[in-house]
Amino acid sequence: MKMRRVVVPIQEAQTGMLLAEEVRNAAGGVLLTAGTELDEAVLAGLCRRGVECLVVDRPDPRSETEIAEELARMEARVRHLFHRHRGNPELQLLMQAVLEYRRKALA
Amino acid sequence: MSPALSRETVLSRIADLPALPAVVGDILGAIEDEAETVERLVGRINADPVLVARILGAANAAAQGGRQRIGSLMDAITLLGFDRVRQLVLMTALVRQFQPLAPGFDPTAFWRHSFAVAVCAGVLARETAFGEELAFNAGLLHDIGQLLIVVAFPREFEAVLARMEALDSDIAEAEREVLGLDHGQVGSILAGCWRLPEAFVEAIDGHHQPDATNYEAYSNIVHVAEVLSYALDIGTVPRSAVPALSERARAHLGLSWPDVAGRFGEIEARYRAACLDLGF
Repeated sequence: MKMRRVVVPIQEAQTGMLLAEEVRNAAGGVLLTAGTELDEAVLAGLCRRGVECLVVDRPDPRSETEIAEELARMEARVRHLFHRHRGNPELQLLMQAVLEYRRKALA
Repeated sequence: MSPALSRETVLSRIADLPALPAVVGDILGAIEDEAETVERLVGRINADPVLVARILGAANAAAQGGRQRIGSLMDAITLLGFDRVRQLVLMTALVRQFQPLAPGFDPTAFWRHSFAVAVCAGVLARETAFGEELAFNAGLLHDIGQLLIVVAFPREFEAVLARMEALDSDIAEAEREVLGLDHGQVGSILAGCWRLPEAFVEAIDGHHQPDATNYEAYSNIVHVAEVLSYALDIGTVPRSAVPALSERARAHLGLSWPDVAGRFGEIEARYRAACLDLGF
């Protein structure tokens, strides 16, 4: 099955998930490398070290049509959120950053 | 229409709101003074079963992978860390105390928005090497003026909503037109009465008009954080729209959107975590 990369809060992390990115502590030291499988001991350790979020790969059951529909809904919503600022270059930059982020996250 | 609000009318109605919970005053006033406050805070939490339950709930959710249940407050503090516990206590105590009922006002939406701005402010502060906890807390409190407006001036609040709808404008703009003051200005009067540290008074006061005030970082951080929370669609409602951004505030913080974009996923996850922890 296709995988999808997501950031999850530690409360939603589950055993069996695979880390898509390394986990670092506040000082920047690597605690776990990408590819590590989460088990109970790993999760408890991360929690004790104050790690709040993880990047993991999750199975993605959506069809191509569903993905396309989701993308269209997302674009419409982002454009609505920014609709007061069509002529503002600064906020257009932010809107482009959000659109790019969402396209990557949804595709 | 009743006369516009003045500082005096606002001051005369502050007692319409419940008092600031003592535990909130402790936490906000004592960030720099941690060692001495741990014992006092633990004492306060232990005297309040709702706070204890919230912290144990969050600790057990965080430790869901492990087999042992977290049953004591001290174990929960060890697991979550004192910073997280302080944050949870602050959010729980504020949400519990301030649930005003008024036409057109949704307390759950209000607190979700406050969490969203708090999370964005915390992350932006870290990116710009300012105090993460102070920024988070300022974000959490940034709209407290609105609580007073809906409680003490509900008719005027309805007029503000109608104006905002008619003009498709920011709420702060509609408030300045209808009331003469926006909720940031009202909130700063409230924060002053509650004797919150000056950094909060300033951050709350200037968050919709950072260019009109001359405040330092935290006012700018909360302003940019609010824009970012709408841009990321967290803590929003269907009709929400991104408010005006002060380019000066963003530039002053030295933030660039491409850099901030690297934090979007983390911001969304932290916002979700805050809602989960608070049972929203």
